[in-house]
Amino acid sequence: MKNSPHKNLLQTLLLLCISNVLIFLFATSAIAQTNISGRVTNAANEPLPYASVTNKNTNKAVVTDNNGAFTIAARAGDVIEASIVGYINQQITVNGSEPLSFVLQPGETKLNEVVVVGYNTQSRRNLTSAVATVSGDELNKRVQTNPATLLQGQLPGLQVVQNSGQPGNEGVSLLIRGVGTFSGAGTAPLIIVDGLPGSLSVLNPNDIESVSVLKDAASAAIYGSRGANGVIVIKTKKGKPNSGFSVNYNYSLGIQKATALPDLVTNSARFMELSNEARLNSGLQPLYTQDQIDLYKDATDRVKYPNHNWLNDVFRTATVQNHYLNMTGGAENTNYSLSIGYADQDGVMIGFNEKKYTMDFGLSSRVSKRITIGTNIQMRYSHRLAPENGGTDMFLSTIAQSPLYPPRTADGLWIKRAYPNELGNKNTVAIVAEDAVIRYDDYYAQGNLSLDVDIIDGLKWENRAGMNFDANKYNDFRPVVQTYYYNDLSPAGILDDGTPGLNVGRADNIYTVYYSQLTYKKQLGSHNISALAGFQQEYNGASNIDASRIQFPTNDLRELNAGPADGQTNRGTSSAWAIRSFYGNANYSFEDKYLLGASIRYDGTSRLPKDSRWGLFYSFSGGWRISKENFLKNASWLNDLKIRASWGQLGNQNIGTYPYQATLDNRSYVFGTTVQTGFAASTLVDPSLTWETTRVVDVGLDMTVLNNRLTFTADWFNKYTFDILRASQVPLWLGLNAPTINNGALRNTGFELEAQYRDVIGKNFSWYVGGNIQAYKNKLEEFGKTEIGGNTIREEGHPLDEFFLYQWDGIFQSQEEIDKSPTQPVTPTPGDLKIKDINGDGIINTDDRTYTGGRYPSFQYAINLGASFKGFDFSAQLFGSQGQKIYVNGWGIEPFRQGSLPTTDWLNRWTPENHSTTLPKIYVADSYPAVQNYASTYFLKDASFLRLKNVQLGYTLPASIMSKAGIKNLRVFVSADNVFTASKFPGLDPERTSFSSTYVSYPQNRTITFGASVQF
Amino acid sequence: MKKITIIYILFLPIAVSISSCKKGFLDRTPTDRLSTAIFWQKESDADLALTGLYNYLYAPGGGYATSQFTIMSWDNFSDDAYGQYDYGGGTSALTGGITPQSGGFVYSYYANSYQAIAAINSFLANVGKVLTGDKLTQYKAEAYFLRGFYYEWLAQLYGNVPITLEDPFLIDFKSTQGKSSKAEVLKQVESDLDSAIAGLPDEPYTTGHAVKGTAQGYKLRTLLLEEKWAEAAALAKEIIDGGKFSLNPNYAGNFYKPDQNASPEIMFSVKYQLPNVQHQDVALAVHLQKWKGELGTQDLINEYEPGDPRKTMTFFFIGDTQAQGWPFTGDLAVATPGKDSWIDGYYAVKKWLTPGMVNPDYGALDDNDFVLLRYADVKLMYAEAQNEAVGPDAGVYQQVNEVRARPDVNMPPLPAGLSQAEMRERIRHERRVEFALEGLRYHDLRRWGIATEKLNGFVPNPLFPNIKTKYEDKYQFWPIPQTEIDRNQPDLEQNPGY
Repeated sequence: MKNSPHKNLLQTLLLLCISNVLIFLFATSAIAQTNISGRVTNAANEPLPYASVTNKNTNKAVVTDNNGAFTIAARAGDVIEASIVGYINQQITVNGSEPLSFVLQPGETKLNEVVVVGYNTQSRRNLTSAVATVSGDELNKRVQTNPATLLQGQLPGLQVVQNSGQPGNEGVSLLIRGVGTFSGAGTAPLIIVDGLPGSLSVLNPNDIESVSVLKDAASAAIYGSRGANGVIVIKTKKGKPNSGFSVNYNYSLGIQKATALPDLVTNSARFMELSNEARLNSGLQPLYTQDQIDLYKDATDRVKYPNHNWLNDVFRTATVQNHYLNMTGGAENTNYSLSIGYADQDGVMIGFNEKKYTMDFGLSSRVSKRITIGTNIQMRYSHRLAPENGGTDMFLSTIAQSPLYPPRTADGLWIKRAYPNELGNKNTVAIVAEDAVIRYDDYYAQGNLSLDVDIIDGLKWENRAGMNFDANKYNDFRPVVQTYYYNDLSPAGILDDGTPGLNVGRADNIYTVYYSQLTYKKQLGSHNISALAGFQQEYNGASNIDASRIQFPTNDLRELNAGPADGQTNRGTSSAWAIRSFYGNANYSFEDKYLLGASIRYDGTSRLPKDSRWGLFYSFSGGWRISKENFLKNASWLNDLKIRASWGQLGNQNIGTYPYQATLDNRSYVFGTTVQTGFAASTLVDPSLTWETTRVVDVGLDMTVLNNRLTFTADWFNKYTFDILRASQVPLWLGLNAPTINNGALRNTGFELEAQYRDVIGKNFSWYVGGNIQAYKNKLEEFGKTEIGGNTIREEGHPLDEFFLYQWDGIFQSQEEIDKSPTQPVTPTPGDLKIKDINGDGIINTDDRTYTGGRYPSFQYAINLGASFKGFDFSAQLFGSQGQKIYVNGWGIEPFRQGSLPTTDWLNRWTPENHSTTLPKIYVADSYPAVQNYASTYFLKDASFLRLKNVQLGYTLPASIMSKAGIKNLRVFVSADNVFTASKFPGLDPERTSFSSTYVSYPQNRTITFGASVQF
Repeated sequence: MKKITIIYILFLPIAVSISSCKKGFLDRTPTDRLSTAIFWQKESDADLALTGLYNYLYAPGGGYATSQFTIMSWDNFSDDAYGQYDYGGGTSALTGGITPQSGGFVYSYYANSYQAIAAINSFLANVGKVLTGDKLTQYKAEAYFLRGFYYEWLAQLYGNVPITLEDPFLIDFKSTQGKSSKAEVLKQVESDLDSAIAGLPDEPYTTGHAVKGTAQGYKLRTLLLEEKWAEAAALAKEIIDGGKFSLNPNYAGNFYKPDQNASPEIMFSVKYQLPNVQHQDVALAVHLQKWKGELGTQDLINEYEPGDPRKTMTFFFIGDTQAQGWPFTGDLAVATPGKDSWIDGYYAVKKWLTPGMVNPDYGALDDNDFVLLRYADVKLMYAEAQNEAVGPDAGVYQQVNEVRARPDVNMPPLPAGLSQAEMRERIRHERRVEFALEGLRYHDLRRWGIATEKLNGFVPNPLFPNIKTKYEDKYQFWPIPQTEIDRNQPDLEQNPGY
């Protein structure tokens, strides 16, 4: 390595870290001497430093040292009280001069919990950064196969949106503190599992011990270039020392239905009349003859002339089953946790299923006095089925089949349409029954080995090496299936399931990571220091290969070799990236009152050019425990009060693998009868590309009051992202693909509040209620030329991708009203949409589009409550998201898109007789200009919702009875998910990740789960 | 001792990884693409780059089953065909109109053409590094042809557009540009095509590489667009006298493989080749014959003179069976309007169908070349230009009559004594029936200034006389895509009326 400036910087950094450690080492202070000594510990005989020990008779107080020891002046008969935040106070009367031994019992408070932060753990009381945490127990009150869905409403600052209830493909979007960037680097937070980057969704939720969200720069800066979108840190189960051996088995059976389905016009005659009316309104030829309508209207034979509701064929009540077996325990020096899980979930839509197998292995062993080794390994195999074109296509195709025919005749013929003149999409029942269903197999393993060496007291050398391996494959076969017209059973061509034949593919990804660090922790009198410094290296290699064959002689064999070689194709490639990092962190506290922290990281990435690939990221934070100050000493209602603040810079580099390298596109052409290879360069690159940076300021407050019953946390943040890695705006005439450049800035400001109250009434009844609320505002501060998309705008000073729409202003009731009104974008007729003339120039054109709110939720909130009485326990979670709107169009919300069924709302449409002011006259939504040629607020729907996310009732059988059967614990429960949803969103579930999409998509599930958990 | 061993093992990776700095742990390059840095160094690079330019002819057309030069979809914009799936965007253009936000061809011809032009400009700037002499001249001439070809499309559709001729990699990508007038754009087209004509080999069109006649043919189109009648007539005469091209005695053989490969009539086409280079998304026979993405109008059928065999060579009629080339068997063995996507009141298309194709559907394979210029067009362009320049002289008659007298068409000559106006109508008629479903009608109507007359209020399906198409005069200049206007503010102004 050349003596580059980077290396010098690194050396300086390391020196800094080391010198910090040394400075703290020598900054000691003395402790006073008195005549009665003692020790304060917790139930596990671990010392409790900084506990207050007060002589109630003299009102003199001292503080315990790092061994929990104290000495205090006292006489026999004096009452001595020991207290510390998070524990219940204990009093002992002095009897002679023997040492006093306080064993404090924990109070119900989060303050004592150990929070997993970057490369380290910290007690919550010492945190100077914004970290939200939830325990695995709390998460697993809901029963879901994908743990990511469980995070919703649990962690203030983390916005969780579940796109659908599709098994194994829930499309969960995780967003920490708003949309931080518009670059290809994305907004997904970094996921850390057991200390190393990994995957959350592959885990079995039961294997999770805790989840922390690192929200601010102080907590995330140690992850440097990968921390800009925040970090989610997951700890899996590992067993507890000296806990013996126990076996735990959980079983649950869930029954699921779609939370909401549209109400469609399924009366065939009514449908045909509406269709003809819509087509005439749209200037199209009517599809149905009066004869056809009369046949269905007057029919007595409802087999031949049905009013068929296809939703009943495609949506079903489905089950989900979970088995989970865990063996955990710990001897003196070794603890372990082994588990295996199996979940089998059917979709509420036919054709969907996932079987998920998980294994988890956690082990930690102190193999000698100084050396601890450990491992955590998770494996997951998922076998997933999904119809050829996915959930949205299944749904929209289903409602684009008319009610005039069933999917198949009694003789087993698949029906395409009733009449050739009908429109429609495809027979979704045939798609599933004929197995045009894709198999997805995903094999995933993540694991690490650790070796920790206690070098000298307080100095630890920690090493961790990990590897994530993902291999997935798909097998996508499209059969040839004959279809028929229902009216005369004449052939109607083959089922519209794409090009018949087989596509298969394999992709694999290997990620290796290694870090080695020195950690130093020392308590010196009133000074507590901890520091760490380390080195990390990551490599990721991905490859894929796909192949296809067509014109199979049979529908029964779905392997490449079963098809002819003519027309076969294949393709494949590989890519790699690497990051190398140096990092450090130091924390200092004085008398548990003044807290300071700093983190630093120096990252180099293969994604950026040599001269600009190294980036430095850092943060500083401080906390002040006001409750320790003398002026609050006597505030007995106050258990703890801390304010904290942090500032720091984080990076983002997660853009395409080779964004700065100019390459040639392969562009071949046929000359004569041979294909000749050709090349062209068509993409610009910026050779001086560098990091995208996010700067976060966070101010927070943690408070515990009323004898530890009420805890309260508040955070305010200002997150500013600049040098955003984005595609430049290039003019079309330049003819080249835009380069990725550093340009643009975005700001998110917001707050998070969290409060929880818990209490015990009498002997047996305990209860809690908690809630959180989060809100943020998003502003594009630097962008360049205003860019207007289909229905959104990117303009400086406005939220990113704010809706930018024509304003819908009712329905034209008469020609006279049209004549009096400003010129509309498309010449309307009575019953069409009326659009507002925003600039008042008498003509409505692109200048009349305007900013429309609702792109982001105004706030999101959650309420959790629970109670337990004797063996019964009850809990409920409410989650709400307020203020967001979704732009939806197409099948379901618009009539007759591809012949799709209108909802029953359209029975109240505008007609010359029925002067509706909310629904226009019925139209055919296959590009009806008066409605569809411009994006208006007509399509923008309020998607605010409040939902009872979960309610659960459990009963734990009395231990006295169970122990006779050798059972430590047996609990049965019934739990309901997505119990009800209050929303103005029309017809379907309002929760989805996209702010602009087709109206229908795979639905959310309402689930009732019955389960039992037994521990031996 | 043991501990020390462990410590060594642990330190090893650090030592290895740090020392591996030199080998470039962080230096990762694409494994499946060549770096631009190694290009333009060998003579063979010129061939690779030239092939790359032609590849832009495969650009997508902005919708399913339609590439940019799936030219029959152009007829959905006209009174010749109805596009039930809106291939190319013609159906929405005729019902909802054309706006700066329109997709389909309205967007793709603009964006695609400039992408091709960028590659051409880059080629012209660099090819001199690896070629010299005649070879350089010829390679450059091919690039000039393609640039002229694309600018001609832009001029014909949008009229006023920006002109860019420099190596795009040397242009500041943040710069903006205004538009040049249609006349200036056409001047550029002429200049590029002149350079092409000067450098291209004077030989028949066989491989797919443009030849001199190709460039002359496009220049001829340009001159007609500019109504430079005399100059056009002279150039057409030059092509005809050059004798490198002739009518294919088999009219239909211009439209399918392998006959296309040997057709002396084709002067330029987009080439396909099974199994590797197929049409976008589905075979042409699926697009046209199975799904009936284009259906002929009654108005076009009525245009055919009685006994004109081109009618049955271009369309299927009720009752047709295998004997008439109808490709479907079984229950669909008899052509029946109202069945299998055939909308009553229209006509299913036969042109472009490869004989012997049976029951085309998903998975069918064909590789018809899209024919963009035929010698018959040159002959009719001559007739049109000469008729406008000097009136219906013998040469005009001769060229029209020769097209009509193609052996398997064998239509009688035009009656003598036609006035100039009558001859004009005869030529327009001849173009309509000769080139049906070859994408020329819409451009002819706009060129002749009769698009509004023909397309506004047109009834595509006589069974539904109340349903009429819309066309506005302003479409003579298509709108420049809104994105382009936004990105070139304040320099670039939209065409009038949008």
